[in-house]
Amino acid sequence: MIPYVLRRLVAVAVLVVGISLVTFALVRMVPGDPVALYYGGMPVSADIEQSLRRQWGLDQPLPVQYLRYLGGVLRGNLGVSLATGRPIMDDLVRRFPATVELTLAGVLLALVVGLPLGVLAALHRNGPVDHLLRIVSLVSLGMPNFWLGLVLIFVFGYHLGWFPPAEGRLAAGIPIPERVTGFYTIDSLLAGDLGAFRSALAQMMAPAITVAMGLVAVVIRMLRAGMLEELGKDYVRTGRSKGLSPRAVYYKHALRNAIIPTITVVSIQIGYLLGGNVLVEAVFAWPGVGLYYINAINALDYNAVIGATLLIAVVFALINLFVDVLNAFIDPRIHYA
Amino acid sequence: MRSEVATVPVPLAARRRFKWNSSLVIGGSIVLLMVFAAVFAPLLTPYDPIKLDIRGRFQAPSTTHWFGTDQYGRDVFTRVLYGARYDLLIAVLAVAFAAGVGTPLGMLAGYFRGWTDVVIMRVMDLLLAFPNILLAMTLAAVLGPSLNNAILAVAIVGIAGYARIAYSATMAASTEVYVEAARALGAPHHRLLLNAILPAILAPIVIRGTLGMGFTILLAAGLGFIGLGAQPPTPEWGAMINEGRNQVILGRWWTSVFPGLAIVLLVTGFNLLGDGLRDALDPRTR
Amino acid sequence: MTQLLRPLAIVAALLWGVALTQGDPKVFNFGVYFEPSGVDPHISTDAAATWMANNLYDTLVRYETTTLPDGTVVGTTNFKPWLAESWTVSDDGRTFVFRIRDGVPFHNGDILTADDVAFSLQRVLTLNFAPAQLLRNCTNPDHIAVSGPLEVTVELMTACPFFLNLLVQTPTGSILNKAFVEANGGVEAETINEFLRNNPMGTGPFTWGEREPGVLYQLVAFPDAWSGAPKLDRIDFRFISDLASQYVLMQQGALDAIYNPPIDILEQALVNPALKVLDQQTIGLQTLYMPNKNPPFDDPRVRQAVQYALDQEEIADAATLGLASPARGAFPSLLPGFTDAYWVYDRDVEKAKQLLAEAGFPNGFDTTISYNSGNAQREISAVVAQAQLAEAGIRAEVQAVAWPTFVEGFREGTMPMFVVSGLAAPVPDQFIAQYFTTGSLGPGGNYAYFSNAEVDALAERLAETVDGDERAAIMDRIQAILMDEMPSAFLYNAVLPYVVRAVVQDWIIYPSGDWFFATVYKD
Repeated sequence: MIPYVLRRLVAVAVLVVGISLVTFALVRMVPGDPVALYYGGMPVSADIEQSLRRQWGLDQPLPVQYLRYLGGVLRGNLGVSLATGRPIMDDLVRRFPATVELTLAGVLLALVVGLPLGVLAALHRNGPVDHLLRIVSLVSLGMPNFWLGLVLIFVFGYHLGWFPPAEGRLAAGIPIPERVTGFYTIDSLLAGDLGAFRSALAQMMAPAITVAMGLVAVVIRMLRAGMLEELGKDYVRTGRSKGLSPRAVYYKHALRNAIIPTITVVSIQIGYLLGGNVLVEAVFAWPGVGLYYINAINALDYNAVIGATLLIAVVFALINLFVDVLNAFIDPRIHYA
Repeated sequence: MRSEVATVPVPLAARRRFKWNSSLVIGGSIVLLMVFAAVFAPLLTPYDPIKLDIRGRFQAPSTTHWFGTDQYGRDVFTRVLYGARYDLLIAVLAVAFAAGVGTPLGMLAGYFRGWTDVVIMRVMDLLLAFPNILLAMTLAAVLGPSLNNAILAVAIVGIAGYARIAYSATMAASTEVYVEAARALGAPHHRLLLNAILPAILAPIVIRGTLGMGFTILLAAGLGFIGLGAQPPTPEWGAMINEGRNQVILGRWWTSVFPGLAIVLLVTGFNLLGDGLRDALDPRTR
Repeated sequence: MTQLLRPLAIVAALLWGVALTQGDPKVFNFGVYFEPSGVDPHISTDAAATWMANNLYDTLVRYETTTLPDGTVVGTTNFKPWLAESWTVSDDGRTFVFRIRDGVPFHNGDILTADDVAFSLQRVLTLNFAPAQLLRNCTNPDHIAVSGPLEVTVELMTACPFFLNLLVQTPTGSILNKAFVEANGGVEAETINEFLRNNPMGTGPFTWGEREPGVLYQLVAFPDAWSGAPKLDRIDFRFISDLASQYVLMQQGALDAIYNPPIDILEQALVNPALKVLDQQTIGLQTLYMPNKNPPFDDPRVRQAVQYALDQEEIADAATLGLASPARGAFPSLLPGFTDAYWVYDRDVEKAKQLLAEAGFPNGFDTTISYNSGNAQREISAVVAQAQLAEAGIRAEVQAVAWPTFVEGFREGTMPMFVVSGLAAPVPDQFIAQYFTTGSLGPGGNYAYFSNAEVDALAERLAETVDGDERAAIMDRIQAILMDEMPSAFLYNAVLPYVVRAVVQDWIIYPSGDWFFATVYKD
């Protein structure tokens, strides 16, 4: 087991270097000059621009710039953001919990809604409920998440009053709770600030629903398939024939077995969602890594773009590793060569 | 049999029956409907999707303007119909490109193994390590915001998926007895690849392609939404949703809602079609 | 299944009563979609940074205000003593002696001295970033000296008739605390001091409060400010990238001001009695550039034809809902020295066609008008101009371009026609040099790629001339030439609207674009 994990970790490290190289090259190819953009397009004399270029190391040949950057990364220094002037690592660490909080909320919502529905679909296989759920799942998979976000904010939020306006993680005037985890929901509870807790939850509702929408169909489908497989197994028939109530058989045994592959798939999806929620963050003005990335691209903030991408890719790779290891643990039949 | 070695026999898999089912029919109908709308758009509506009519802006849906008008007075229903052209085009071109590049790469890696395998598949792994939307955004930013570049960006993002499928399917097909035999008897590689391997892996690629169309449209619309795809006044659905964004709050919901519904319909159609194809060609995997 | 419903119901009940805090009337909530890149005025010159610096620091002189007939107070382009109590100028205009106000406290309690003033002026020049650009033509650190306990003498190396105009601008003239700077990294030529970039120390009425990047930044009142305690306790700048959401929040009272909303929201705000629209008439022109180095725009007749074909009122109405006034020359109407005496270009489509025919285009020609995607004013200007030009035979395609590419495009002059506006300081020498001299072609600011030997010579003379009448004559002649040569088509005087709640009072608008919040309060 240990050699396997170590080998995977090495693979992750190699991947990180690869990603940094690809992102570095790509970002440098984006047309435009960050120095010109820094001054907002306003004219500045050439020598002043040159001194700024020197400050930012942009006057060095590209390979040199890359190696210097890589050296910094290996020491944990992702450079300084051109737009905010702050170390990128600091900015990312501050914003990462926002993305994670949103993703986890969405996943939780998807599970809470999807698991029971999946069981329902399996138990009433090919019945009207099953078909209805199938249609709903399909439609939810076809919805662009940014569009759903807009519809939620404005149609359900503004016009129907179900959700507060999209002003970020807390409503105006609510002070940010003392930072322990970076999750406003948890931090506000820890600080005993119920008002902040309520606001944090309220602000998170619409974005979490948007995130969950893409995942719910997967959960329902996976669980349905898993349950059907379990229900066809011998131990179920044996249990029923022995007179065990359906509840005992279905919930306690079949469900438990069926959930594992579902959770596996969902865990992998978390990795995708962390980076894939860029548009959701944009629509809801959610100050996470995704929005940071968009702003960085618009400002040609090279190091910030690479930093954000690296962070997401690394987290994704680590999550995959974690899931694989967990699977190998739970199911020793899996051959992890 | 001996004389047929030089010509590679068609594997059994391709001779399986094609099983029609409801998903296939419904999905296929939706897609066909959209294609019809796209092709015959000029005949289906009297309005011009691009011409301005500033005085007629923001009319609510009515009998003259089924989906209302937008901030420049253009009929939204017309723009949605014409928009089908762009989104269908994006889907087909991007998937064709991605499959066209990814499949051969995967086949080569799975057939020749060794260094070819390592190099190709590691690069694919690298591509897959990026969340799709981030990679697409960066590529679109590099190439410059335009419809064509959006197609290219989305296509590049999709390559790795097809490569992976082609890779594992090729490896599986390579172990079939007739392939090993043909190889041992000296059949040329390209013959084997084209005549034996390709037909065997075609089914999963086509299924993935159809399912991929829906996802491609969502990705491209996302790019259009942040302004990195088709540019105004092109009536691409994602760009239209973006243009209408500020209007929704002022009560003019139709500018953003209808293009979104169109996306939902088309993507659902493709998803159903893909599901149906999978059931038709490979019922074991249900 | 029912076991799940109970906790859900509790959560729902909790959330239903989400209260909307109207908040403290002494706290001002400002909805923004931009952040300052730093608070070191000598380095960070983006608009947001300057607005923060306007309130964190003071300058030696400050713009005057005046009261309009209807009672509103607005800023002017004249100045009054500020940190400098008074000053004298030598007869040749080359030596300035400033008497510094006594007893001015910094945020940390230190008292302002002449040392701080001299140090700050020298610092701008030594750092040599954008704020030093014009000042370095006037003086250098060796010519700035403390000449008494509260006295600083500056010797100018050239005539520099706009010296005080430079000192009134926050990026150039802000006074920092010498001890504080030296204790935190000092001054190193052409190097950004990261500490000072994030930590201000000034004499202004506000200090820097909490900062959560991407979410919130604050200005907190400094009650001991020499200029008087601000009426507000705090200003919260809330980062909300979606302007529509900002508008909703303002209607609910959660935001007191939003900046530069899109036109549809502006339209709504204009008729909403609970809101006020403050339009800031800026010193800048929304201009339709046609880089003169690209045919067919190298022929002045073609350029004149374009201006004749345009209906400025229609464009200004569509793009700014009538808030902007049409351009009447190559200078913004608020630039000192402006005259409309040479404006002859009221709309005349026939004249336009005639000029085009003379230039060799009897059937017009095809071209493109570009603008940066997302900018509604420029988009509308381009679209309306397109329709107007079509009547004269110029068939233009409108194209949205991503901002970085757009910036590169106008610096290099590769776009045939494009719409852009710039804000200028009320310094005519700077304006003319930047926009119309050969030395500034392209990236220097002369995006029209206009080159005229006479204008170049006149601009040079202007920089040497101190006498008011002589200066007016030179600027007059320059404008006459520009109206003849028509380097670009001038649309309207750029306007920056902000929408505030009706309870907001005494926000004084300055043509320079500065935001001074000390006087603002909520009813």
